[in-house]
Amino acid sequence: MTYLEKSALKVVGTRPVRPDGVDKVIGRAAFGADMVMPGMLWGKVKRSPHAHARIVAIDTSKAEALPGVKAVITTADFPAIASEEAFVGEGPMNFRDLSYNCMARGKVLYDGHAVAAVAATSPAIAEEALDLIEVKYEVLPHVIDVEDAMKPEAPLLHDDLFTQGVDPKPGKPSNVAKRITFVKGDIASGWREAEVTIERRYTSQPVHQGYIEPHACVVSAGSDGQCTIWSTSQGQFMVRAYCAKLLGIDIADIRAIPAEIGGGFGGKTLVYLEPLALAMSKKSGRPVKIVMSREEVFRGTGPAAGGVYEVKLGAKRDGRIVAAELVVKLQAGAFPGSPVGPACMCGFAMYDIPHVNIVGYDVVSNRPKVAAYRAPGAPNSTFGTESCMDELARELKIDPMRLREINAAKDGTKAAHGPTWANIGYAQTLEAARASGHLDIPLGPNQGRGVASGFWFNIGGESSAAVHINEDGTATVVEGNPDIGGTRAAMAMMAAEVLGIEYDRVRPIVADTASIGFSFLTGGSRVTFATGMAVTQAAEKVVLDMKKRAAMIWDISPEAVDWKDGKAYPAGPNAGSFEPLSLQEIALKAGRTGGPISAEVSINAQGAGAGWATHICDVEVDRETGFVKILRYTAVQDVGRAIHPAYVEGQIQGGVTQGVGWALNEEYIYDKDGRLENPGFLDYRIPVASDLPMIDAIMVEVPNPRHPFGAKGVGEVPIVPPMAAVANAIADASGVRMRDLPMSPPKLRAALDAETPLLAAE
Amino acid sequence: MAGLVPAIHERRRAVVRFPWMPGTRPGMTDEAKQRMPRIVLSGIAARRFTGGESEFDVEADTVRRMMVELDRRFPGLGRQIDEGMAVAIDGEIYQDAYLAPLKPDSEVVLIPKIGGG
Repeated sequence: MTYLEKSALKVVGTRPVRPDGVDKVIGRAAFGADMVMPGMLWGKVKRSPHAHARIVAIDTSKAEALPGVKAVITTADFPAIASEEAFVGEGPMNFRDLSYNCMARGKVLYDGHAVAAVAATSPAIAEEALDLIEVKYEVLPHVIDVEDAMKPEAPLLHDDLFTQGVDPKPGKPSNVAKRITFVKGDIASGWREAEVTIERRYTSQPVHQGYIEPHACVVSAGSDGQCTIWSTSQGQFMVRAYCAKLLGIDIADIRAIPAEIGGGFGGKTLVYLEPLALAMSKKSGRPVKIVMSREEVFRGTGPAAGGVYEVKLGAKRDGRIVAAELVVKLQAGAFPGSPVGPACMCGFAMYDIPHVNIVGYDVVSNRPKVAAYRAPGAPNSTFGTESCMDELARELKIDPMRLREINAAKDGTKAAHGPTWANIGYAQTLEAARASGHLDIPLGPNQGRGVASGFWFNIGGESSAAVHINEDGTATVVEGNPDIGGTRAAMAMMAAEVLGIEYDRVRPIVADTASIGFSFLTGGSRVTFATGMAVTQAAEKVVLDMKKRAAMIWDISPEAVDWKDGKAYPAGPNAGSFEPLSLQEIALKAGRTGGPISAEVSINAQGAGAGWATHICDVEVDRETGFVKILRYTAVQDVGRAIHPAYVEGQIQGGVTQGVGWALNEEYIYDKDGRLENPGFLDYRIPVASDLPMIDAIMVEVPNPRHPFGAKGVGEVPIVPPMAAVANAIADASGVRMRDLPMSPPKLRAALDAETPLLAAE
Repeated sequence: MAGLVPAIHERRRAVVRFPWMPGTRPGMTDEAKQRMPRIVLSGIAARRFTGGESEFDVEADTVRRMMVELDRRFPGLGRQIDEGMAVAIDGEIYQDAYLAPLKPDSEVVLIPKIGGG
């Protein structure tokens, strides 16, 4: 059943307060670090001070002898894992690498790589014990930069890593894990057709997801083999599965309980601490708690990938793009698995281009293994392609928005990576951006305007949800996905709409792994789409059941019962004359009509509609300092159907904010020895409220026919256009084209001082 | 997922799933015999299984049957699809969806699997 007629909706599309809102405002919500248990130990992790080194020996004897220390672990406490790939938030993840990332085996591969851990009766004792662990290293040459890592003479991270995707198979190992290629049309003929060509090179730095809550967990392993994990993550089922795999435990012996999550953005789709705490809890027989410091978060957990993006565009003088090439060199961190595939597929997804060649490289280097970050890979390549679009527009002397309109992908357009688009809303975002009035606002001296668009796939996947009707006619919705972006509210709203009752009478909860069926993690902008579909189907089952109960009470056929506004009605005069029965009345008699009324649905949702966005950014450049002030920002996005418009707007504003940080300030700074020099928010600058104006979020609704309410994922695509939008605005304001992120004041000041005529038109 | 992979190869050897020749499935109309889903390998990597071929018609009405048939023709490709690829059917992306239906004139594009943050 679908509910696509907007005028018929009573709950979906409204803006009620989120069920978890009060707890979070007053501090009652329990996050990962809030859990305590009787007899609990404190865990601390010893981390490598070297970017690349062989572990010659580890002596833990002094630490173990320290009073209060109850467990010390190293890689020797973890089973050797065979190379086996699984698909997680970012993309493929090798379990062997995941184990190796949690605890170094043989070599350390980046500054901050875990080498040992301690559990003691107090944090101070655990800290003291870390200093007593003696690790003897043989320091090896390291490599940080992606193109340096690709050189034949670069220090090798893995002796058994051979480049996939090249023919013949290489005989020598390399830091290039994979080469991928996408081809559409005949690029040579495309270049022959082109009247104007433009070729540019862009770079971006790895950036951290910057979630405010550091990783934290408490783990208790019982003597009977049953283990309980409380942790902050984007998926309790993910935590359970990875811990089981890494420690050789049956999944049924682990119960993972989700804490509230203080931000994830993709960075909590992996485990770092849970396997360590579990190993130490098993060893000590006591619960173990580990909480990362901010420094550990920066040094030891995954940033988003950085990389190099070489873009070439060929067009007719009238603005029609006839050929495009993109080379993406993406950093994976210490282990293979950068989001190079999506990066390659997203860069030109917005456009109808007949001839396209795309090549991508997945490259390891001595940095933390990258993790997902909103639309992983797409912001990277799109910074390159959308900056180059702007440069092409200037070369052609065509308005940048007009250039996008001329080349916009529509239903029936064949994308560069193969599929023929259907039911897409990109052109509508361009129309809405034009209609917003933003483009008509006059600009002053040193002010400029930039436009950029973006695409992200969104995903569906496995989700479970249950709806229980309580004795008093209220309802409980049970889901298996941690609530990162307001999805509890969305779930309750969809259930309320189907049940026909008020939103306040539905209470949603996020359940542990033993209390609801399997649900893939919260990521890929999938929860409102996929889990929302499960909730809707469960509510529909409940409605069907309640119609049967009413039929039983009235002694008529269930087919002769209608459900409307939370009540059962006889379907027509022939069904008989009965007073309507409310959900509350039916719930009260549930015991007499067959027992509790509830339903659980588990699905593998398909058909997640893609996300499309067009952003307009105005900036003012201080030519003396290089400081860039964001004057105004309009973000237009195809959201399918906004279940809770305020939370959709929040996702859009959050994505823009993080993109502005990526554009202007965020970067990892390494010293000559490969040590991270800015592992904290004082030196790693993320945007704060005073850095930004109110971001105008404009929602375009092109309903997704595969979702009962038309919803599409909304959380990722808003981070795709901002880097190029800001760069294009800076170029417009200053005449200086910034092709390397971040466009921080020192770098922009240097570029301004150089007074290089970098605009393509000049 | 890994547990499913050998099944492809077993079935490939057994050939019990496809006792008919392509285009001769019992009950097929003449029109259907002429129209089969068109499979497109978008990336270069998977073409190592196909000798460079990137487009082919496959008689299959579900994703699973398509995988089995492709693995029969190009040993190893079925496993590649099963473990690491998504399927775009007429522009709509499916992942891990054996039962997803294919129409006789469907365009099926095999792309790398999609994750997300």
